[in-house]
Amino acid sequence: MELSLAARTVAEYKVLEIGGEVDVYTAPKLRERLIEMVNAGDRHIVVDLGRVDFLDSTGLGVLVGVHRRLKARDGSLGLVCPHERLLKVFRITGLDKVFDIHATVEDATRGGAARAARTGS
Amino acid sequence: MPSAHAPHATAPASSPQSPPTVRLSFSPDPAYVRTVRMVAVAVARRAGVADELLDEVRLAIGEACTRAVKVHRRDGLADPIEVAMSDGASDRGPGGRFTVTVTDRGPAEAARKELAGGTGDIVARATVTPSGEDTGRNVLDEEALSIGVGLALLAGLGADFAVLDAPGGTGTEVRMSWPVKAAAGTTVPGARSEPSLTWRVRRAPRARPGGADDGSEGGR
Repeated sequence: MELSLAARTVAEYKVLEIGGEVDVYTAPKLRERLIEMVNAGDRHIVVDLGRVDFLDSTGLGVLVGVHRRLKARDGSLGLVCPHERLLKVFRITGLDKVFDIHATVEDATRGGAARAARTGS
Repeated sequence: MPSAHAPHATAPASSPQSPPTVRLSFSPDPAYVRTVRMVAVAVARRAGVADELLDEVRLAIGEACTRAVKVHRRDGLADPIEVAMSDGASDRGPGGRFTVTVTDRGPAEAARKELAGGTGDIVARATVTPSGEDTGRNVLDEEALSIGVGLALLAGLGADFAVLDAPGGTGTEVRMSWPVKAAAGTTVPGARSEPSLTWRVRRAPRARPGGADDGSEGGR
């Protein structure tokens, strides 16, 4: 399986768990799903990358796009990324300073959505 | 400043070239990039690249191929992307390197400009003003952004790599290399001239993957 997407609700957050590889081939599916969520009214989204084996610049582009969309709607995008392998990609691109990155879904959803909207650039 | 023979390399382009041991040629379709990554990692492992470098090999070669595919699609080029890998067997010993070249038909000058842009671009685009106005250009931004960022990411990985003019007309060659452990692998030296494995993937034009095969319910 190249990419799996499963959404669930945690308090005020919608958590999208991604599994598999996010690359130039699968990223459009991820983008489509996230944009559907935003269009459906989800404002505080947490993307769980815990089961992602591979993430490239195309995947980063999708996350940046959704981050912007949510910011423009007073929302927030949180990321869950427990793996050094993936964190490295965020660090190299400087995006670790842009995204709100957490080690666990619990951390990402703690404190409520209002806090999430205030923090994070 | 755009001279026809501007310096090619942005980094010292790896060690003496061994002839390719594996060659791939694939249509500029995103679906094949994963296949190339898998092959590249398998060849790197066999060549004796250290395990802790394999993630970097996977990401770097993926970025180089992704960029090539996007450039071809953007410019409407149907030509295949060429990938050549050399396991460094003929210069094995200290200094032997696993070398990969990814060649497309886009102009190399553009690639060098992207590289010069670095990763500042992606951060700038990701940062939203407090007023948070939505430009509505998100999709466009993402596309442009990920073409440029791929090379910057590649550079940031710290792999030895260079952006060269491809031999034979307009084209860009991204060359990357990694050290191989001495005495690893069992390749017989001497088979210098021919690739030991050649594999061509050509998708018949127009057979686009439907994109609805991922099993995820889109549901509107």
